[in-house]
Amino acid sequence: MLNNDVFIFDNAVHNYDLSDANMARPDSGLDRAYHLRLGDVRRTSGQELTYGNGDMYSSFARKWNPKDLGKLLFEDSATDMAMAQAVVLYDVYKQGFAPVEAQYEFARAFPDRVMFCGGVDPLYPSLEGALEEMERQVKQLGAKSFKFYNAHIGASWRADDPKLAYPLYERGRQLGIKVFQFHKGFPITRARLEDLSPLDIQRAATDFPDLTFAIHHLALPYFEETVYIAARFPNVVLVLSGTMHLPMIAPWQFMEYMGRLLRDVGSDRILWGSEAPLFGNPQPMIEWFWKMEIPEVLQERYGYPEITEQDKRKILGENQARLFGVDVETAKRQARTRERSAA
Amino acid sequence: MTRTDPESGVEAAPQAAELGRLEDRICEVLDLQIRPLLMIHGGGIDLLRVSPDGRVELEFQGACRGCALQTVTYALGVRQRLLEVPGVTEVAVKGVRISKMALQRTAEMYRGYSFRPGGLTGAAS
Repeated sequence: MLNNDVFIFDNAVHNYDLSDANMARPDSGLDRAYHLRLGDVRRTSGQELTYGNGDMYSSFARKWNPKDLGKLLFEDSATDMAMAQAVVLYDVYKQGFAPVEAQYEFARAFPDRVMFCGGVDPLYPSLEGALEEMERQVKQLGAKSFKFYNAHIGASWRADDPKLAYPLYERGRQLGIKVFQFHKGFPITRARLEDLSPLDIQRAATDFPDLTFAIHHLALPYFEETVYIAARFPNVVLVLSGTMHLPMIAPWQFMEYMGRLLRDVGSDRILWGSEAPLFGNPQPMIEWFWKMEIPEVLQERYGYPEITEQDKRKILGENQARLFGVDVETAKRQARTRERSAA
Repeated sequence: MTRTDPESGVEAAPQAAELGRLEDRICEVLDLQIRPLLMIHGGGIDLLRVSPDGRVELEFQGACRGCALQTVTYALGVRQRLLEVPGVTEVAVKGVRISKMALQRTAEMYRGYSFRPGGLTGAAS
């Protein structure tokens, strides 16, 4: 907990496998390199020593494990809970960028602190296979949500495809899943950017009003579209995954995004997501966010409201807790007990 | 007739009848001036509550929910009009947040202009 009081529930962490052994194609290293370089410039310096071999790239181009990720998140940062999200990029990685079983293992290692978010893809190998896999991941592995990635090298599918996507929501709903999450915006492989536009979320959100659709990464560079979609559809939530590290590079840009979201979407539907360990330990960003303000010049120029402590508490953890049925006060009591026993 | 709370210095709540009359005046402006304009675009607005100190809380409905110009509708089309109602001290629409500077700017730009039926008054007349 931050300051022994602020509950941090990270929506997006990945016990990922970027090892050579997991590369699916001879040229998968190109995709891995592009993805990892995103993190290289966003990790605070020194993390290559704390969590690796001294080299920023190769320290993170590896297969992570629950012990190392648990230390990074739960010992070295104020994070109280996290959702381990599978990312099944089977066109690039044999077991996916963040393999299903690895996320499950992380959740199993920290059963009170980590929720498992499953992942399937109707193109790999098929819709029927994906539906069966959803069943397995919920019933056997305890998945609480599903994460999807629509774009692949040379192939893609849409979130509003009645034949390919809707059966996934219907099966998920039968299994008790209420939150469906999508990587949107900048690809982390050589897939096409336009295949990750968030526009396809609109029809899905309309046709499944009882389900919640999460758009990750603010779908950059489709920020405008994302704001309008979230403003129109109350069952759409936005995850700051990846973008919460932007302040290291461009704090003004992040404050503009945040001001716009507060003005046009509201703080009830914004979720914290660190992408740890890809971008390293999230603690510096947690502390930065807690102190951030919307500058007066932005309030003056764009009418952005001030950001309140209540907004920050919601974004850092309370919204995620509400979505997944976690009682914040109980979780805070457990965190204090843990911290006392660790002291 | 109002009283002042000796501890807070804030005027105490008007009588229920006075509050009822204030609500009637607000409803009249909503029905005659605000809702007809919102309905042109398929929008609407509900009155949630009026506090004894004149604070009005509303909620957008229909096409106003999620509209890209919701903040403008709030600041100009709703807030400025309702602030002309005697007794109204502040106007908030649920879920709509803009900076104090933006509200001040709107108030200053429209100072001297009235939304009351009968045309412009003040600066432009």
